[in-house]
Amino acid sequence: MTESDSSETAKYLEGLASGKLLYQQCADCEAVVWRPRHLCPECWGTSLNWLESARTGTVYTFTAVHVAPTPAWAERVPYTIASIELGEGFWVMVHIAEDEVDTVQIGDQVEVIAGDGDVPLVAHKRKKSVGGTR
Amino acid sequence: MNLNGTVAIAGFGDIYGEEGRDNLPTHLAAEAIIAATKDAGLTKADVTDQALLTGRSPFGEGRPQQWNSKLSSYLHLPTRVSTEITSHAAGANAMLKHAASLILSGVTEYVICVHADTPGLVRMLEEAPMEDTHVDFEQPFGPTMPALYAMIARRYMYEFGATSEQLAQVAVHAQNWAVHHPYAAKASKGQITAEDVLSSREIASPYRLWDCALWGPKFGTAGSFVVTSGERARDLTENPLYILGVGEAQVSETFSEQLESRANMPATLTTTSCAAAAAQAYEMAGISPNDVDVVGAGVNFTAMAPILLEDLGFAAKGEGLRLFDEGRTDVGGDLPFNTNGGWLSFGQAGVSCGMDTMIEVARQMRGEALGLQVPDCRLGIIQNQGGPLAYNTVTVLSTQPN
Repeated sequence: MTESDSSETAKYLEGLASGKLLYQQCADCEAVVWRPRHLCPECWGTSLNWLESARTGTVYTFTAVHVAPTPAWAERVPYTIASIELGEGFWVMVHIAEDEVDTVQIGDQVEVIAGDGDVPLVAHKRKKSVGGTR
Repeated sequence: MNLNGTVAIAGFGDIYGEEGRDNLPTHLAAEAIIAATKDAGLTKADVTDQALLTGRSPFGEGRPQQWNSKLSSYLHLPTRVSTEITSHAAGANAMLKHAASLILSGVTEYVICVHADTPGLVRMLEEAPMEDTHVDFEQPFGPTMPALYAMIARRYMYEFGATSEQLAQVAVHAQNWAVHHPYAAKASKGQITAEDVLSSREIASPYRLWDCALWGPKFGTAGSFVVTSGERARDLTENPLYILGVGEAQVSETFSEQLESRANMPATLTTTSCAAAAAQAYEMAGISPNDVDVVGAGVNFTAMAPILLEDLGFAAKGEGLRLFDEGRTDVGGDLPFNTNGGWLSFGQAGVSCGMDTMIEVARQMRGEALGLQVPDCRLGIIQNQGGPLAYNTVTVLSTQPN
């Protein structure tokens, strides 16, 4: 797993380890807070609650990387990075699932899951719901 | 506040590295300071015990900070004010604003602004972009700087229906200017077509090689300005450049932080803090975009051209590529834009790349362009961006005091 820069980030990473995407909300002003912080950047209050995301959202933008930043990443090109707008109102960087990189589009409805390798978050398309089920 | 001709650039100097000599940023910068001092009709004694401002310490110097002190000491140029103006690498342009503050407050009579860098001396340049990404929320996904800007481009194309063919025209125009500039890094490649852009190798979709700036000119560049009061500048030179307006705005640091929900500010990748910086600068200068004769802006990837031109007020949001479709930003057009080829074709000479933009606009306004000269440049705009989208600075220069 990656190095973490604070205890709040560590808590997010712990959540990921059990398949949960944890985010914060300010108890005072109700702002959704992402990335995790030790205070609310909106009202500067210090009471933050941890919540679990439903992990569903839409593809906000994406790119297929052909020239990698490091030799280790060069072995994996092309890989597709995306920004996902989650239903709770925050954005996360992810990889698009490898079998969907050729068809991904902005606006796709996706589910974000914890990656099973060293990439923390992966997004894949949500199956179209069949009529009658929500 | 209206500066009303009270602050001006009395002289400037630019130095270009060459094969077969030391091209240390300190050496290039020292020569640029001497050239600017001479250009202003001043001597070393005049600028001694005054102010020295530098941009962020050059990558090519291998030194994280305090380059200003090194320069001051190297030149035996004692100062009463000396510091780096970093502004997330938009500091080259922001230096003029800080210089104006020092002059107007009477702290010093002269302020020397300088920046330099040498791409050929930078170790691990390819990994430098990792410094500007977040360790936990970005780096684990293997982003590159082109990839981050490619996501901005993809979103721009989605929101406004722009095409890769249209973006290619930005690269074509940049190259049309650059082929005439003696130091432009891509000048030797000659003029190109949109097809050349669209068939170049993929870097990070939708971007291909020609959509991206390059690190260059590899032997480095340096630029320096001497700022003083408008009155003194008029005594020193027949062609002062007045600093009429300055604007500066920062919202976020990393790409992902641009997409954080903020009160009164929608999360977006297609409008930047350049818009706020431009509004400040125009209001201070009392001008509108219609008055402008030449524009220099930090276009490191093709989609940043329409985004910044829109934020600078030259087109409505989403319509900036029309300026390219209609040839207005091209050679001979009525909105001369990045007339040295800009970062796309002149190159990004390291962390000092904003200085090259400033020198180009200043040279155009003095009628001393090294490449193609645009006639009658009286009012110029300089924009610098410290990326990704982190920090924006806008300066309005004029050959007239108001």
